[in-house]
Amino acid sequence: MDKVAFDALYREHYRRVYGLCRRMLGRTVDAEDATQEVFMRGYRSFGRYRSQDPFGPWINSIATNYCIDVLRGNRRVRDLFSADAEPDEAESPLENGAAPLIRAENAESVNQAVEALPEQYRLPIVLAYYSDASYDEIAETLGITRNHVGVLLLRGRKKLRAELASQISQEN
Amino acid sequence: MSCPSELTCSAYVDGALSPEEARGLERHAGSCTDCHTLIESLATERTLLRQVLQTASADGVIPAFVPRPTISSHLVWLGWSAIAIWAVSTVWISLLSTLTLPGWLSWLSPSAIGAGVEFISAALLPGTSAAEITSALFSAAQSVVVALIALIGFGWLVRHQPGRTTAPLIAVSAFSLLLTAAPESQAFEVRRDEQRVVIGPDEIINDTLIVTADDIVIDGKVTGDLVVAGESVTIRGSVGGVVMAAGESVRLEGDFGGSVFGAGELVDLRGATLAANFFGAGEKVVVHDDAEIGGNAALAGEEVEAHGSIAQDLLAAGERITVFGSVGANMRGYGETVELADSAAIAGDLTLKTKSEETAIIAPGATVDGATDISGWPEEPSEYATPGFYVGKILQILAAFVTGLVLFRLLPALGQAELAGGTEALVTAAIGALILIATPVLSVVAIVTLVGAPLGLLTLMLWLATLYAAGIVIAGYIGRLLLPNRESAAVPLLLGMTLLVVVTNLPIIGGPIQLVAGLLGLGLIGQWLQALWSKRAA
Repeated sequence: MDKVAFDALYREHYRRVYGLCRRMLGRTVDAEDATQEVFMRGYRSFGRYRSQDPFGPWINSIATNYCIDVLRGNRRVRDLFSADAEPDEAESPLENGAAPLIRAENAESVNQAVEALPEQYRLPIVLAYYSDASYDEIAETLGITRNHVGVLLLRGRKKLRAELASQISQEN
Repeated sequence: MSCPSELTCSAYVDGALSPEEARGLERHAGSCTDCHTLIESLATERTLLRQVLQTASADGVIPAFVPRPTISSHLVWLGWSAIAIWAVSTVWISLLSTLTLPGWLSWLSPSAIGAGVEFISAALLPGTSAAEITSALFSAAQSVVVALIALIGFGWLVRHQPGRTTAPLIAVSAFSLLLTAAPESQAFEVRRDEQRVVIGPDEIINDTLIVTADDIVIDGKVTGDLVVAGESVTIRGSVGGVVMAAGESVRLEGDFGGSVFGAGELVDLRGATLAANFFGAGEKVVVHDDAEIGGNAALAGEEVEAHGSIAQDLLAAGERITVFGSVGANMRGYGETVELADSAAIAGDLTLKTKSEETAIIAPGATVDGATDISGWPEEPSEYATPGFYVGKILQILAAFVTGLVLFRLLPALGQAELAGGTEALVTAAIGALILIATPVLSVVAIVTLVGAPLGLLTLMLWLATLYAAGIVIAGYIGRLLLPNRESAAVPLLLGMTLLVVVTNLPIIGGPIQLVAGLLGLGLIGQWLQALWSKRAA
């Protein structure tokens, strides 16, 4: 196995994979360990990787599956989404026309708020907006329906807004 | 058209609507300000969220990627090692035994092991030659290695042919491979009591019987093997199989079809008839004049008295040995004083090694039909004076060094095991002591009774390997203490190993140091296993 070639790919894609692991796993798991494990898995199955395909999506899918494995623990991943959350007061409607709560200046707190989201909302949001996965891809990865993906994304963003709004009101 | 739901707008912004749905929504939004604004806001939010999420945190260094050896590469390593061991041992046995080696290399010859085995053979299986035992030991070891190779093969299959059904199937076939290698095992019965277990004269037990209690009396009949342990053990009934009895006092007064092993402060054979061999070890071992032993007898104790008749060989070792009865074949005695009374009759040769020739006393009435050979303790030349000793030690260090490198490569955690200070070190030593003592006991129990010999033998061999590894682990630790911050493990390991071998070979303090180092090394391995286990469980 070509360790040198793999090492170069590792350096190139490390931060991206680390970001995915950190966002998917949230605060409970050490993302650095997870990233090492992802590349370890990639290294082991490097023989099956076809070099004409881009490496990014390939290692990305390994990372996604690994993180889901970690989160699943002993549960089946479907169980993560079986409890269809009731809409609650914490959801905040989009203030039409108002300045969005998400701004480049508060990137840090937005990322933190995403990491603090419950898994069932965090995973679709990370897959959709970090990995740029389509509804179909997310549905397949998480083992849920396409429609469910849309609902979870909508609710997840509402929760995110509520969280950011409460942060801002605390600051003031 | 009524206003679409927020879900539809959101899906539109995410690009998840079909082309017709998207066109419909766009037409509506063109005429509905509310929906237009909502979609605009959602789109802005989406763009910003993507931007923010995808802003990779540029800080922090990228740690180096160090690939762990994979399970398959572990297996390949193990497989090759097993095959190498098998090949080397085969070549060693078949080739070296036919060559004549120069004196300083004589320890390389299999017969050197044979000499060590000779005592075991004499003590445990009189009548079997050392060569037979050596070859039996090696074939046993080789069958274990073959089983190991088979298991590794199975492991490789599991790894490369994963599937829900393959793994259990292979596990079952591996287990049955072990079982088919096992001798036919019997059912067994266990009796346990704090105080007293009595098998009455009318009771017949058709299995192997295992008894533990303070006071054990067996008057009945046991057709299988009998394993008893207690403070006071008395066997007056009859036992068809092998007897293993341990206790403060062990009194054997029945009829025994198989060999009898007795160990205790007092081992007393009175009025007993033994069809096979008798092994007695204790502070005092007495074979009374009404006892008959059909096979060989091996007696070891501070005080050994043999009054009865022994049909074959007698091997006696102890401080004071007295023979009053008859021995059908040869007698060998090792002791400070050995005495043959007037009534003693040895049909074969008599070999005595005593403190001095004066302490071998043969009464005028005693008869020895064969040759008599009496000698004092031989003057051992100091082993430190022979070059072979040093060559041997250097080879020993090199072998352990190579093994250590392989070990640390396979299990890097062992190469980084740290000994904590204070009471934690005591805990480590205690774990080591537990492994040291409990494992062979359990293996022997397994060999004698439960699942059959191969499993016990395998455990025993693993235990021996662990003992060996313990030295390596502690040597690695010592080396790292002396040479910290070394990238490679090799130099510290070699240093630690050399130091350990030198120190443990010092007179007087060498033994205790070896014991402590061994216990700590075993403890470190134990703690590593424990951590591995709890990690897996978590």
